[in-house]
Amino acid sequence: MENLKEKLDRMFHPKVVAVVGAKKDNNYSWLRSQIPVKELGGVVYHVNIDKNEWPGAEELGFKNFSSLVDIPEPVDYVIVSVPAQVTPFVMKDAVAKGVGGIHFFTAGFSETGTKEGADLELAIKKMAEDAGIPVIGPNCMGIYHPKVGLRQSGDQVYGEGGFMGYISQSGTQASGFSMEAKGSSLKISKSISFGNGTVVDCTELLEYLGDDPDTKLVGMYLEGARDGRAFFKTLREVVKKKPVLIWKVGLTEDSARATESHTGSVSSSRSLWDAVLRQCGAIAISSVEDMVATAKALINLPPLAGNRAALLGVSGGHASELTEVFASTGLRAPAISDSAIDEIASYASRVGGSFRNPFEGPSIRPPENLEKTLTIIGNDPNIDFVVMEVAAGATVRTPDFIASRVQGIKSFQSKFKKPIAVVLTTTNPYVEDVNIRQIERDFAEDGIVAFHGMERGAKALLNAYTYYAQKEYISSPG
Amino acid sequence: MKAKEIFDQVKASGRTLLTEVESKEVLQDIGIPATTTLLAKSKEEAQSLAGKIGYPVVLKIVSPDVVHKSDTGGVKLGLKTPEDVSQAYDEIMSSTKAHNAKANIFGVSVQKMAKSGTEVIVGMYKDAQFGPVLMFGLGGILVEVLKDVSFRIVPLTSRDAKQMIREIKAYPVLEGFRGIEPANLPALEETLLKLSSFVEEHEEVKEMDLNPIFAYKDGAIAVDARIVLES
Repeated sequence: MENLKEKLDRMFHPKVVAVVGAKKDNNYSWLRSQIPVKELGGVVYHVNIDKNEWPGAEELGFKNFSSLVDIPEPVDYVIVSVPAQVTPFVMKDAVAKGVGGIHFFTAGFSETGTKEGADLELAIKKMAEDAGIPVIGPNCMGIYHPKVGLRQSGDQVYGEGGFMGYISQSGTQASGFSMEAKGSSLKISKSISFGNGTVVDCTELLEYLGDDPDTKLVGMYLEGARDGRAFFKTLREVVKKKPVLIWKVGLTEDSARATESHTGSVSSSRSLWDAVLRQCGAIAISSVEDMVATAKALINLPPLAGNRAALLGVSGGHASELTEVFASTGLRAPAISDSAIDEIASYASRVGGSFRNPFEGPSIRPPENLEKTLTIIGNDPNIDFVVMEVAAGATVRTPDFIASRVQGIKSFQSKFKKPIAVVLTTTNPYVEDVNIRQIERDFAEDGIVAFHGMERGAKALLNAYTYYAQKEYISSPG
Repeated sequence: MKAKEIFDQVKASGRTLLTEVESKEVLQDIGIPATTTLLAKSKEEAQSLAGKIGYPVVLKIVSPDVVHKSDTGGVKLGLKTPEDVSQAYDEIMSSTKAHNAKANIFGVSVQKMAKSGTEVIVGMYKDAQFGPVLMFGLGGILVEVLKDVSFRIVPLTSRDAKQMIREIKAYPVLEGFRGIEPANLPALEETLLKLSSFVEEHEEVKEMDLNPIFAYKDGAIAVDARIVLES
């Protein structure tokens, strides 16, 4: 589509939004979700041919129209939730009105596997392409742009934008990601759920977020790419500019059937997708938690210069577990130098702890020793980054101790460029029932990245390391 | 002959599958080394070509109806004399006809018996989503079982070619493992890159198999090849 970037810009920054087909049955959810647009200075109208739905919308403060063409000013973005058979009529009005862009929430198209569904989708596609109007969907949740208040659901935060862009074939995976991100203090720049991608597909959206100055990294949930070759070429280019994290599903025989009936996607083999991601330098992600954790590692930590970790555990057993988890992920935890060991031995007892790497006990437990040991680690050329285990229950049981950990980490951050992160564990020695997400957010308030669990932390740091290790040659011509 | 002309001839004769002789001519045009392979339409011609090429030679059935040549007795290796060639010719003909009486037989191919090297396979196919894909792996049955192959989407950069060779689990074999002669990696990389540009320029190619390629310390040579065109 010509001038797609300008057209998408208009959709993402609408002065006037129209919601077509809001209804009492679902509590006018599509209208309610867009209330922030009005709060932030935009205009939102309700369009419905059924006047029985007008009073409810009016009560919420929205002006009603029977048709898009009746709206007395230009319309930048239209959200459509009408039955599938009605969509061609709405599309016709949208073309007549010359709207900026359309999001079809409506399902019942090619994903049903029926001829009627496919024909209907084709009709919409043709009308949109002939008129040069970008369509997002059908069968999706559309745009979430917190800065202007456009939302996919009423639970999403708005006002302040972040750095993470997200492109999702699935609606619940898009809003689910925004919830998980909110839960762990990761802010979103722009997010799009694109469903069947019949007019605007993941490739165009990836290109758009690749050029978007607000978006520092892009995450994607994919079931398939309509034009795999175009996607491949675009991905190769965008990765040169910013990290791209891709969570691809539909790679098993059973899940391929699931994605086909969900978004009509054709699947290639897992080994081929793996090869595509490796060839382009994108990072393979395997869950929404993995996505958020990896994004945090990339956005909120300094670059990892290598894969060698210093590991600080809460006990001997935990330090061993931590080392096992990190080393089996593909990261390393090498022993520190003999001179560093001798230096630590001058203030910390060798009894009841260890400090060759991993570290636990007297070398790190007293606050003054933590600071000294972290300084030695920071100066050790064999260590690239630091991971400290924190027993989540300690935030309740011994808050002063936690404060000393925060102090130690902050002091390290002020002295060294090496990344330092926390992994929160919920097993012994403190088993209080705690709110992990709240603890993650508390650490984030202090400027500290905390991951829920050793494995999630290890995976996220490995992904970040992989990105930085590839960065130079990915950006080179080949 | 140019690849394009060969393709046109094959299509004109109503085929999509190239014979081994045709496939190797295409490789020659691409600049990928392959054993010189000539078509003999009779026993006498086979003997005469063998004399020109120099013994020992290999005889293989040339027929668009035979896909797995070895499985149907269509391949005879290490023939050292004109008598060997004569006997091999008869055996190949009778065995092929025994398996498929209606097989359209063009003749036999005669080629120099290549010095054995580390067996490598390079393949090309089209994926429904991503289009042309190259595949690399070691030859032999174990690799088929373990699926130890690597893939890259066309077009390949030189970095892609380097990585896809080093990515397979059996890579240490190519470096020279326990007395196995190391493979010439730049020669293999070049084969992949040449194939990538060729495939990019020729959309009518549907599948290619260079199986096996013998990799040596000082180069690599395709010993068998198969090309399928889009119908």
